[in-house]
Amino acid sequence: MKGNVLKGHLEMLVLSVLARQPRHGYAIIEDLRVWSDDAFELPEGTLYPVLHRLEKSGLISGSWDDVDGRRRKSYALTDGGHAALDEQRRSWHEFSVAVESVIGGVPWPSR
Amino acid sequence: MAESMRSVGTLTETEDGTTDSVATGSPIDAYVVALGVTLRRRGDRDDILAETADHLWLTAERLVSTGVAPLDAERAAVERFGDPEVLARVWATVPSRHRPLLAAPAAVSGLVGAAALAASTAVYQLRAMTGGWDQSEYLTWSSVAGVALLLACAPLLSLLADADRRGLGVRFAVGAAAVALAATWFVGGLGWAWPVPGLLVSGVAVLAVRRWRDQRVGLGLVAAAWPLGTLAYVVGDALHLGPVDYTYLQPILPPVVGFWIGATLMVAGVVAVARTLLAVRSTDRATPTPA
Repeated sequence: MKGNVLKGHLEMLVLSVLARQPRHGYAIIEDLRVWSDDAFELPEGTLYPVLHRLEKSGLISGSWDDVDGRRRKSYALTDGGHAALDEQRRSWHEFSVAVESVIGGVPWPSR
Repeated sequence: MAESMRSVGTLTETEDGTTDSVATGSPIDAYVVALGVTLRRRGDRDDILAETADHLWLTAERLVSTGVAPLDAERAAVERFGDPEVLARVWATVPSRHRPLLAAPAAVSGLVGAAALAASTAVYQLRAMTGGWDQSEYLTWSSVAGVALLLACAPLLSLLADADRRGLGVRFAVGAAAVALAATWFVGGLGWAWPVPGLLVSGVAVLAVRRWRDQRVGLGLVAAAWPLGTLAYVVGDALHLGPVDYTYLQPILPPVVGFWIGATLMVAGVVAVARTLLAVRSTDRATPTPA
């Protein structure tokens, strides 16, 4: 699945990863790759603008550590992030059910 | 396993099969430099580059651990991360994290204040070394120096305004109070005791630098300015260096040299901070803040 397909959904995916536990950028990419069974292909560098945007919005918080002489930033979901993720999950569920209905030819919401 | 990668350098295999890094010809280093150029106007560039470098080295380390040659691992890590020019366009949609309050007016105020402070220093030096001044001249000088100090501190207060992330916070209040006291000290005619307001201003810079790592050069200069100036004053006074003012029975040179050191470093620091504030403004102006 190409990166442009992910556009608009990446923030929700990142929030979902961080809902399980705090992660740094590389680990988030790894989790996305593993959990999607390598379905998502996106330039890894595009993750970081998303992380910074979420941080600026207050949905995640970042903290720096020194690891093996390198600065490493980890992110964790805030209370606002949990609430936003719940809302996005609800919206996504409605959207995916509606799309499935159209594609499958079954009128929504009879499924 | 490549468990001990360094922050810079190229992965190379050592005789015992582990990896090490050297400082030349690294694709990752070259990539980080290239990305840094594209992000040069962002206030948070250093943080972005630190994250990028860490990600790239982690990727390379993992690849090396699976048997990929070190140089190939670095190239693959860079390839996977994406074209710097493309990433720069993506970053342009994200406002710089550093968004100081009234950045441009504060920067202009800082530059004007720095110029006035430099002029005040020259006058102080001239009058002190050429026979002193009368009370009216002194009070005028002290008042002008106080206003100059107030204006020059505007960039520091602009940074402190954002230091608590939630608008004007405790650090801004403390900084504003310190700057106000320092300026009042001068305007009140106590300019001769400049170490007191000077150290207050340096303290404000210390407050700000804890939050603004990418401003550490400018803020560091301001933070060091007045302690160094005061030290020169105290040491020179203790050693009775230079000619003596027989009216007050004090050496003339130490306070002049001390003030010159403090003011010069502060002017340099304020100019450095003001320049970055102007750059941040031009970046943020083009990018809306997300809802």
